[in-house]
Amino acid sequence: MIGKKDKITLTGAVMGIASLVFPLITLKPNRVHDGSPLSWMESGALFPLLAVILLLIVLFLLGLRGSGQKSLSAKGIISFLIFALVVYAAGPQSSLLLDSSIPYGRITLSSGFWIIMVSMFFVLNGVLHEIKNTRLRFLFQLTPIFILLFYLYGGALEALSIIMEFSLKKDRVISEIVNHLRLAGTAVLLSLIIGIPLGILSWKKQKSGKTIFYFLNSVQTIPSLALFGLLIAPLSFLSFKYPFLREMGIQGVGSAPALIALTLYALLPIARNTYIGLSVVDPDIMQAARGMGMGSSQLFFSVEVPMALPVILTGIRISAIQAVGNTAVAALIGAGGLGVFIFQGLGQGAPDLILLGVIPLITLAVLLDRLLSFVITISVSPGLALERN
Amino acid sequence: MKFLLGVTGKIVLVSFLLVLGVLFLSPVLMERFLSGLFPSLTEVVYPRATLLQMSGEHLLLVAVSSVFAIGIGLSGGILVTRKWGVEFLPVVQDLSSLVQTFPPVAVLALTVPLVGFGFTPAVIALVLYSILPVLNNTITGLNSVPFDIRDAARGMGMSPLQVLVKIELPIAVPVILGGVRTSVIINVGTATLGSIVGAGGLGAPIVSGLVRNNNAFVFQGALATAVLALTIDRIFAWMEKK
Repeated sequence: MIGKKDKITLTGAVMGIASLVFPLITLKPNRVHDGSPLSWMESGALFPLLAVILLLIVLFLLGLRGSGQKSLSAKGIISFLIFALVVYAAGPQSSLLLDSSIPYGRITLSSGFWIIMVSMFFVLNGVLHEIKNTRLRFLFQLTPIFILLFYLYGGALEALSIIMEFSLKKDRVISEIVNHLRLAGTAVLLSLIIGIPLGILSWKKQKSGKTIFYFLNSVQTIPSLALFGLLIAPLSFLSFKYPFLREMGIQGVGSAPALIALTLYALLPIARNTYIGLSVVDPDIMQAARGMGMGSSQLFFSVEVPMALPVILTGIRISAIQAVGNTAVAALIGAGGLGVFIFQGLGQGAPDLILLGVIPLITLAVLLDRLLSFVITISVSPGLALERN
Repeated sequence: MKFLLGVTGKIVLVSFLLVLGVLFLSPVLMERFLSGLFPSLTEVVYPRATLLQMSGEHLLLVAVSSVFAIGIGLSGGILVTRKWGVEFLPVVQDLSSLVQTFPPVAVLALTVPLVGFGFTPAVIALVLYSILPVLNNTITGLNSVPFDIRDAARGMGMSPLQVLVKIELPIAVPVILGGVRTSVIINVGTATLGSIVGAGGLGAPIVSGLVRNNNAFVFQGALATAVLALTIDRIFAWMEKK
């Protein structure tokens, strides 16, 4: 491999160097003021800046040399050092700018910070793809999280505006996260209960399957905000007409229309993947199993289900990620969840409030995605995994 | 059954669209219709713009961001399938599928602190969010071209550019178009949320109705959005059949 340039590391290093001319942070006199962007020099981070420049040059040189296993570790470690230095410069270092002259002053992260983060993601991702040692790879995947947790628990990031906002509204954020997960979770659970039988039904009876999928596809095409909106009028009419529904909590706005719409959305991926999962079952294998004397229920549970399971789980994953995102929109119809902060923040023009909703939302989605991908990999039955290798 | 479903489906759709078209074009009829549905409300027609104007805004938003998304996705897909760009393939795929995991509302809301309210943040968010289907399908489409065919084309003396334009892209077109369809449909949906960042569009009456507790506003916006999304989806389905 030596002699061949490592283009990914080179790109990352060049992007990193270019990012240094962009402002690192923005200093605001208060939480809704626009504030003024400050470069690395202006935010007083001279030594971290010099160290970062030095490390980026080393990274560039390593990139020129190519990609051996040894240089991979070096590249990984350098990208962690840069990550730690950038967070240090934007956090503890720039907190020194806040003094008594600006009592409500706030520091937010600016474009330079984000660009260098993306470029380090680039380098690290390239390294992770090349690394052969599984333990080292696992360690490398966790290191950025450790660095971040170290800073957070050390209290070094307390001057950052978003952390301030969080500590002010901590209880509210946690209760909305719970609320969010409950709404999205209930919707996915309901659509599992309905969607899997629908998928099986449309596979056994192809004609009704066409109608089912026509309907589910159309629902999926309707934007979430519109579907929420369309359910408000009929539900408020029903709850007006039948008081017992109102007592059950079913109204035009709130969690009832949200749950109905979220469930309708989550149905398609689950039903479709159940259908696909069942239809990819190899007819030869079915024939062989029948020849071995399996009954129809045994065929279903010992052959069809294990073969279809990974595909069905992929459908659940798509549904779950989608439900987490759509639940944020449901805040507009008063269902609560993390969308509350986003829409409040947009309404007040307070970026920190927006981030207070967005960061947990994105974290939830990404964690859920990783978790379910892991479940999918281990769900592949040993017999099938053997066949694939 | 299938035939019947197709024909009745079409008749229902067409008559539905006709009724809606009349309502769209005539504010007076629209007002009567909505007052009938929502007798308790005094103001039933969204005052800021007509549905036709808002559909225009919506479509403009979708068109601009789709053009960018297709441009970036297509060229990105071509770059990472060339010999000198193939190293970037895993990184690009990881990055774009990571962004795809982000909820659309989150991407949209994130652009506001960076560029403020209006048309631009909505376009940026929509573009970011709809690159992946085009990119992925371009990569899949180009990689599905059999090696033998490429080899034969090279053997006939074609330059790499000629192989790309005359052989690879034409073979990959159906797959790429599938990605374009997905990305436009995603844009039609996400553009509804554009109104929360001040980009107008058909989401505006929905949001305004929700804030002011006016179900008539919500209803007209929701209905128009649903019809627009379904119509565009049908048009694509029809184009793919041809």
